[in-house]
Amino acid sequence: MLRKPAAFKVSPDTHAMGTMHNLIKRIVVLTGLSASALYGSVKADEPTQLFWGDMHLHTSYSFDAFLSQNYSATPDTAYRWAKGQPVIHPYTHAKVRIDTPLDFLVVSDHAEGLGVMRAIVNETDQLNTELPISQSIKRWFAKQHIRYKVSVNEGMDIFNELLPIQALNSEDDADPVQDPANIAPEPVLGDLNQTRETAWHEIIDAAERHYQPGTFTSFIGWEWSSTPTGANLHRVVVSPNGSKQAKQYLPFGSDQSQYPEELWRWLDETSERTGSEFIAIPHNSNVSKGYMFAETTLRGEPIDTQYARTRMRWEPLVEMTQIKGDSETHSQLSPMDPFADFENYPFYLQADPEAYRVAKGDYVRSGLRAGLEIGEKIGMNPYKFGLIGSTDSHTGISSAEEGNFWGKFAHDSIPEGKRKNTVIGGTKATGWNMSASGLAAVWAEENTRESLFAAFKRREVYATTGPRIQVRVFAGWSFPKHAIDAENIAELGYSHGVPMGGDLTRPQASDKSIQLLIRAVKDPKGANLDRVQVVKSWLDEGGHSHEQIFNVAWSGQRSLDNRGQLPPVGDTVDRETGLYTNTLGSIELSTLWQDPGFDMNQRAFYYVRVLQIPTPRHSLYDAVAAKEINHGRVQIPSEGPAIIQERAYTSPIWYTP
Amino acid sequence: MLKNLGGLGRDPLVHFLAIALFLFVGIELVDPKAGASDQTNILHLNEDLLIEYIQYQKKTFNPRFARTYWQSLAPSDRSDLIHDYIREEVLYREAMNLGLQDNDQIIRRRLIQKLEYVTDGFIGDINVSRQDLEQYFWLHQEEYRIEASVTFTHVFFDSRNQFNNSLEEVALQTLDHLLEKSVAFEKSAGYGDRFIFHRNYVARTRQLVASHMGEDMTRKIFQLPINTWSGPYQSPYGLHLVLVVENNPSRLPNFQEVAPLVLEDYRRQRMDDMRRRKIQELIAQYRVEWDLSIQDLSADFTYVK
Repeated sequence: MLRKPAAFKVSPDTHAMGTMHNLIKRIVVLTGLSASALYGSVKADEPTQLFWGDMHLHTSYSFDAFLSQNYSATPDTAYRWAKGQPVIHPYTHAKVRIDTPLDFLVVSDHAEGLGVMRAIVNETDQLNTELPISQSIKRWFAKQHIRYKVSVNEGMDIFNELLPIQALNSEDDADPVQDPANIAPEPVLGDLNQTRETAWHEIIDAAERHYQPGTFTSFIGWEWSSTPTGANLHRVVVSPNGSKQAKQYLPFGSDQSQYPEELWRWLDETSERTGSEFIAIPHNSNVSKGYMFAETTLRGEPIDTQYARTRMRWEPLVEMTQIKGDSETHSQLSPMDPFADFENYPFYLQADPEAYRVAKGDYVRSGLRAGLEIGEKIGMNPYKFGLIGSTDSHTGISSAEEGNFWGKFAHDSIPEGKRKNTVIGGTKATGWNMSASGLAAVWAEENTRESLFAAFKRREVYATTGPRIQVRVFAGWSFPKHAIDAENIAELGYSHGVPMGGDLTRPQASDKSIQLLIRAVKDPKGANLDRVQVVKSWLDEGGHSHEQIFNVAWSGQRSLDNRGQLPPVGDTVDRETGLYTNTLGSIELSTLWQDPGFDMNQRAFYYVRVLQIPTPRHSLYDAVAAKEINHGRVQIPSEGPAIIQERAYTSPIWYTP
Repeated sequence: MLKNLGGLGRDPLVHFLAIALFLFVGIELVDPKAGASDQTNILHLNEDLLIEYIQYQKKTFNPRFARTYWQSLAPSDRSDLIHDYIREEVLYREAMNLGLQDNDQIIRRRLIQKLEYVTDGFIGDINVSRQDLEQYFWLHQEEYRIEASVTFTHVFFDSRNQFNNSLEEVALQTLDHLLEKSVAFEKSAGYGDRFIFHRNYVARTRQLVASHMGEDMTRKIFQLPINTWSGPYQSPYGLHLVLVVENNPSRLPNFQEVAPLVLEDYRRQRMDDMRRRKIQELIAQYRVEWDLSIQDLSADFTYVK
């Protein structure tokens, strides 16, 4: 599958670190070689390259983005920002620019009412199908109401009316779609499809215009936004195909069905009919009320191989970190993990307030663990997914940079807006509860739709909470020792093992243990690295999963205590200025780690977590910025800590006996 | 654009207008023969009307909610609500009778805005010829400039390593060798230490190279002659010997390369032009009489939106 560059060298000399001795030896060896064609073949030096993108971004074509005062950012704005061009911010109207451009972008507006709010207010809507007179009057009123609310910047009132309310049925596993409280909003606007189609075609055309194979990749996509009784089951759908296929369908929305099974059925039928390929990426499992990675289907039926196969066909990836929080794990589920509770977001997407309850089905780590358990029972793992991060920004501006973060919605893009705007519905979340996260990192051969999409499907991807931390991880049985420092670590990794997202099965020799070959390099423009950790989960004989975290590489002269814990790396962040230094931490961390507890009869998975040294959270930057108007005091918002340790999470590698 | 108009409709007149229109439609349906002169003094009341009214009061557009709310009200609350409705309606009508809407800047702005939207609606589709596009491209070529990029390999000496000789001495010795043997691009990996980022940089932008090598060294790389080793250059991580094989200065693209973007920009510009022309046409229907107080203005004054 991977193309290998012709000029790749596997010589024992290339890996040696340059001591004087080695250097001279190398020069001596090489002096004997005749120079080949002068400055001949020019190649990038690795079999796969790292590409960075955002796979979840809304523009003013999303109803909620528009209602929250993003009146101007179109897909064109989104692409121009992603490519590093200056754009006008839809709320502040200031000129803004990304710090480091992206390599690819998925514009994923909500399928439901796609482009409709925008069209109504701009009076370009095509909502003119014949209706009985009473409904026609209602529609007229609804349109006037929307225009009025938007003209006084109170569009969020309409959004809040559209939010679901909590379930009446109090049973934990009840089907939320069938709950009496799950009532679809009255379709006062009539048939939306003509207006949606216009918007959809504009989105497609923008993607086609901005696609520059080899340099920048635009993907056509949308979001299916199923939220029965406030349980977030949202998926972003991504297609690698172009206009020809995409103009043969309209995006499938949750107004057509709130069951993921129906989404998958539609994907199946549509790919059959049009020749399109798709993947669907769940996100915000953290606010799914336990339904995203549940032990049953949404209807409460047991998961069978048919369900597992279908889900894995369409959903090879999960978005585990984004602006509405990080879904890796919660301290109630992982009490032994000192780095759990990172950027928690305990607020449901609903009109009425409801206390947050932690459920196993809410978090990615417990979801992956449930996958092992179900896999053991039915013979097929329904939750065998790779990990990405993305923003879910609704401003058309993909910003996961703490110091250049432009909010969840337009109206919370400035410090004042973050302070006072309750961002969603009846919950108390403000703009400072939001997290300036995340990014999708992809190891692919080249920056094209085909190559990136193939990497999505083989899960050779990972998530970061914003920084561009480079991480390689390979799992195998016997890597050469010198691989840790080898320049051609990727070549050695691919030839002796499998990359992130891959599978290992029972080795031939019975005395083998799994090895992970890991290298993490800091963000070229960002903070140094604190540590590399391996998160392992395995099944015991009773079919129950366990988890353990290993510190496997770290900066400085620290050592592990007898429980395997590592002292904190320290903290250089100046709370008064928001500045930090790279005097702590490492620029890179590499290791060849061998699992001390490997049991070849146990199902297991491993993923790598890389932590940066502490850096300022976006809320601290806001507090520093507001110092002068706060009588010289830096008032750190209580919604989050002043500092965070940003991180990368690789896709897991699974071992199946 | 809308944000600029923020607050224009804060005046409840906007939604009273809407209610009035509803009333009008309602009356027309119920009694199409009703004489215009009687209408001012007849105030029809029915439950649907009040339910619409509640929705504006509560700023929520949910008829079911409004109906439930209405039904749950105590009789005294109901009569209060009806009283409020009648009071507002009467005051609104009286205000209209007195002509208070005239010369009201808020209403004026909203009407202008609405007419602009209507004008946009008349513009419709734009026909674009290739010739138009190319001409537009030639006039705006600079906006599509392609960034400079560079292709090079490098031999790195890691400042974390300890040497008997200085790092610079080792680098210089290696440079002599690289030059003497004309060591090729793809052979570069045989020398020096592993760099944390890349060995080879193919068609990379200044911004990316600067993030890996620092600004100083990047400035030098983009000025180096091609096909010869040089250095050492200092980065935040150590010393580098560099072989540049291609240096693509920033350039203007040809039409083919950027045609889709040109089309979009051209369409946008045409829309703006047509909107402006439409407004000019409307203005042309008026004769503008200049008062003496503004006589100083030059005669070729043109209207711009």
